[in-house]
Amino acid sequence: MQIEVLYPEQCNLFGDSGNIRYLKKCLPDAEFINTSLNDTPFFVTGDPDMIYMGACTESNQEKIITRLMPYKDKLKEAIDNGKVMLFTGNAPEVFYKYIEKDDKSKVECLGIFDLYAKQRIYERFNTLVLGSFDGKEVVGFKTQFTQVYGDNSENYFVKVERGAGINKESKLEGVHVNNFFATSMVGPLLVMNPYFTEYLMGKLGVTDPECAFREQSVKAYKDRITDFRTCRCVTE
Amino acid sequence: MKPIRFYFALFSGKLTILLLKMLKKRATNFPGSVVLTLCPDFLKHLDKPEKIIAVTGTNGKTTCSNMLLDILTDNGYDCTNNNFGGNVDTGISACLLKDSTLTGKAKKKYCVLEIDERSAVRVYPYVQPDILIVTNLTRDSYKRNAHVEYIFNILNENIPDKTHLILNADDLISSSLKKNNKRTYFGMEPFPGEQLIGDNIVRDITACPVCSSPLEYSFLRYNHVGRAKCSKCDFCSPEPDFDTTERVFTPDGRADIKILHEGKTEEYNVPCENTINLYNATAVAAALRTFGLTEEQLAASFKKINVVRSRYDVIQEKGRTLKCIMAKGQNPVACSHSLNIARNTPDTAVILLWDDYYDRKETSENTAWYYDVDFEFLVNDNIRQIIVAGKRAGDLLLRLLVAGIPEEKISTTEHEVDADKLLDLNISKNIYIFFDMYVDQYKEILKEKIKEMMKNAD
Repeated sequence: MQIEVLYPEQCNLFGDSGNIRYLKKCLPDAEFINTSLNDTPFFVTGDPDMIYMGACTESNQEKIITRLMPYKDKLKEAIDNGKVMLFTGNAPEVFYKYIEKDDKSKVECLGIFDLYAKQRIYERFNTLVLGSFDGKEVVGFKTQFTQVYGDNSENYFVKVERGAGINKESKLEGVHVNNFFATSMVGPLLVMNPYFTEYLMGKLGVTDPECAFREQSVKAYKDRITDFRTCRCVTE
Repeated sequence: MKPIRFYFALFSGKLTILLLKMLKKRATNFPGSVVLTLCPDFLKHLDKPEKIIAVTGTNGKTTCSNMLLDILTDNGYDCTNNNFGGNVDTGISACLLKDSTLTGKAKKKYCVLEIDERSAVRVYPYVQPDILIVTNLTRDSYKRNAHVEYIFNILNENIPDKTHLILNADDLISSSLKKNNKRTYFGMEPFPGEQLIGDNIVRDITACPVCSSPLEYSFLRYNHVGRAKCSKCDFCSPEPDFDTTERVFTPDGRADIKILHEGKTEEYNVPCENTINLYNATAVAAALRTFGLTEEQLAASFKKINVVRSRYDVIQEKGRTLKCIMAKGQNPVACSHSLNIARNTPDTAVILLWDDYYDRKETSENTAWYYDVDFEFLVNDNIRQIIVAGKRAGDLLLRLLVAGIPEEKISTTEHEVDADKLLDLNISKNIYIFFDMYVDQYKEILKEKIKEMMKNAD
């Protein structure tokens, strides 16, 4: 099994690299292929089973959009063909139509999904997220400069119970099409959500998937769900 | 002509300080909040001391500003300072207010300020340091500080053009601030026997900012701090003007260091217990020599000063050592520095008190930062026990397992002050309590309990 990690030197903010470290424990026989900023992505010439990308700075995000633009059709084809893909933090914005900056200028993105992001550098947004996917709770955190707009009612990833979806008013988080998952939740999403990790492992062809340190992960997950249901949901 | 609201704010602020004094409360931020509420541009109208030395940067601000103040005081400079607390606009307003007359004139000629990076927008337009140390820029609290590029841009846009910068030559990020400002670089050579592996998880700069090609390091001390050049273009680390070339640690938690400056070697005995903290002493030496102190003045004062005990405390009892080391929680680089200290000491027990006190009270802490901390440093035979105490103990346990630490070495409790009950002194000679700055009260209780255990142990 091959898993391509796009631009890990840049896309490692907010603890996002924890996802890959955990996947390495869950899938000890998998080969992880790191693609650097000046490399041609592996998915262009090869056929990885999964592609992952995490959060990066705003300037690196623009560089990455430029790097991936020539492969827009290839990425769309991969989504349509059901390749397992996980994009966290601000990585999903690369797939949207554009990012509107503070000065109202627009950074054109790949345009694969009919959504756009408004980036406001002096309006940092933090919140917890408690929602559900595939009948199980999903927990996570957001820490970002952007709010995403557009209609994701037909292809959202998580239905939000507490916290926010793609923007402060939304209760629908991210994008889920076939096996493509995009969310602005950051950090070790896979460590924090053992059932979702096992769902992804199943999509990667693992029979009877069992995530690493399952007992401790499930306990921490359940404790967090209880915590999220009872704590104050501070959105700032 | 100053507006009436300024005088009203000044008078109200003075009254607030007086009331707090009568109530025996410390005037940290509150008087500053009062004056800024009544007069948002209060700092603009308030008279400032003639000479301002300031410190900013991710890690080491408080240590540097304490050293600056102690050394300047020792040399007869009476300085306004915010060492009692707040380093944001309210704290800075409070300290300048405290040392001003009833008409708003500065009572003191000199000033030492610690300035929070994000406060740059509100502080630097009105309070313009003559000398500013930028210790380093690494990732910090995600919630407040986002990422290094965000903080870099805030500083770059707001540091005054007239400010003489004291910059870390070994930090490729902060050393690039304000290219046209007068600048002095400090740095440290690799030391004989120093472990220069740079195996941290996080590096906030990996590619050349000019051409995006990979960087080549001649040495990497921690995270992205070291000396590097671009593999393709001319971009490279600057040469230090104050370069620490030798260091010998002494058992009293201090170090004898040699700094090369303009071809001459200066020698100092500084209060630093590990290599990373030597950057702070080197930065202070660079700033104060730039300010005008002589080598002799600096050397005499360095010898006298110590690090504040609340941040670093050592207790020895019957052949065992307990060290309490404060690290800013949610700051992965600072916490990794702490773990690095315990990495190679024999028969070691590590107690982690890293829950965020305020997040715990007000919401649920975002624990993503655990995955940027180098818990992998603890995957060593010398680490006999790891005790995790706090509400997030289950999350930390999971992080330690992902790091590769055997489960049998880890124990957890939700209650910080119960950590001693899990400590086995039969297998531990070196005990570390790593604690967040806002759980000092738990650390103190635990420290006393473990001290008693050590007294009564064989």
